[in-house]
Amino acid sequence: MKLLTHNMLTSRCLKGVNVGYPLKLIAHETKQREVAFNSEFVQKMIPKMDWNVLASTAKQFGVDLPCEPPSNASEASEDLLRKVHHALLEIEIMQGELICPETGRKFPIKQGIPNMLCNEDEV
Amino acid sequence: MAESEKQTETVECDASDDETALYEATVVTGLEKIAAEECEQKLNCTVNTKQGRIVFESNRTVNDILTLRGVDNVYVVVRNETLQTLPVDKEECKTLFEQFLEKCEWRKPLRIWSNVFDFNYELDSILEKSTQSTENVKKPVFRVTCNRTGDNHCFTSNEAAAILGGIINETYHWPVSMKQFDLEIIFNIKDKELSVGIALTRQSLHYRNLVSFGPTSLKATICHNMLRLAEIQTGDIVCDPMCGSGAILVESSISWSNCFNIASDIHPKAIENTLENTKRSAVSEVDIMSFDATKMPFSKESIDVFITDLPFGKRIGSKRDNRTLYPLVLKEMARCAKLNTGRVVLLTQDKKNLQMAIENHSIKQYWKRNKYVYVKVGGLDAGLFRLIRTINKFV
Repeated sequence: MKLLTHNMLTSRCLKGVNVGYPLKLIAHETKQREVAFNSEFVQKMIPKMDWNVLASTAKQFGVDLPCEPPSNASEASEDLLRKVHHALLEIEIMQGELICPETGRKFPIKQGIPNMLCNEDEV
Repeated sequence: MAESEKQTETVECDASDDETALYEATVVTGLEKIAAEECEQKLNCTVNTKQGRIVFESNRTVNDILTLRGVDNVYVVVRNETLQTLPVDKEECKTLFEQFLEKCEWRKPLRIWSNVFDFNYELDSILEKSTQSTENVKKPVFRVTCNRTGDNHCFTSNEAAAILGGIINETYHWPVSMKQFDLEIIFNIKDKELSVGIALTRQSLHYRNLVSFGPTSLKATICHNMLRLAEIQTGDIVCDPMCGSGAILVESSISWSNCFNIASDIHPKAIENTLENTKRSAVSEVDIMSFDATKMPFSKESIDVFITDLPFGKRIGSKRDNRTLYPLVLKEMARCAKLNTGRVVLLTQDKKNLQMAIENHSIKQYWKRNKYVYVKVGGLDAGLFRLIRTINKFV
């Protein structure tokens, strides 16, 4: 799982959870993977992301993003775009877990695949 | 899809150095228009559609032509002719085919074919008709494959292939083999229209992506045409919440490297297959997850495109299950899709249940049906639905 996906994930499928966002990310094993840089893609992606969540999760993996998103993504420096690109696509969480902020329910990540299935009594 | 475009009586390829040639490509029935659009865009040529195929003239190299991703088999047409009358017995048939073959100009189609298969035979000598000194000349091993449609033929497709193969063998002394052949000659007969071509593909191009198959894995070429229907833009987040073997998103990440893909399935075996298939294609812009398509873990208005091959209720699921599944999935997609621009492309054979789900009173305010394409999938009459998200907020 990449941080791009994490940025959109909620646990609101659980019973009694209203927002369930952001999920706390605990990584036991990560992999760095090189992905071709596409500046237009990153520019289009920035407004779609919850920047605070992205900045704080990226920090967990040693990537420092500014606290505020660039006000105009098309004018952002290539340096910043490359950083965002790296944070969004090149960090792969292989093993770990996602934790619901409201109930503490853990969703395991194995082989890079988060299991977001809920048991019948949880929905 | 009738043969609306009346082709000119005969179309021939001449032997000049100009590489313009007539090509024909087979397409899954129903998707001809979408495949034709791809062809027009990529090769910049005019394309005619017929049932199950597209026909176009191009002067591009054969490698360019084989970059088409929505077509199954491609061949270069040697000669195409519409007969005045059909033969009544096999004797007459043989004479007719002989006359047809005499008018065939093989040089250019053979040259194009030899570019695909790195075949370095001397074109002059393999087209030599004399019976002498053929012993030490290397000739291509060939077979004829005939596809016949229409009622009033006095021969079966196998018989027609045998007759044509016999004549070619007598004329050029090319050896015949049904399995270990260098050259596959395609003989298409549609009512009174005869067409001879040379295959440029060894096997259908739809076999390209997958190594691990589920019970209903979709052809890569169908996936490609579905994705074209979704009109993917740079930076789109594309999700297949019932991905099965991952066929659609593997194709998406190969052909549209400007988007991000999320594949999910509820079944563990499907996830295994998807993992294998993404590994084999070494695609990086796909994330795999496991969730229930009726309870997706996405925040609202976060996904640009949902695209999926729904359970038809034949091999997977049942029509009865679809009656409850389809509305739940559409509703959940309505919550997660971007307002106004979010798109959904759905493939199903259970059109009735999908239609009912779209018209459901609690759903119809969210989706606008914007396109429908009939498509034949594995002999079933299926349909592709494209829906656009309305501006109504999900409540």
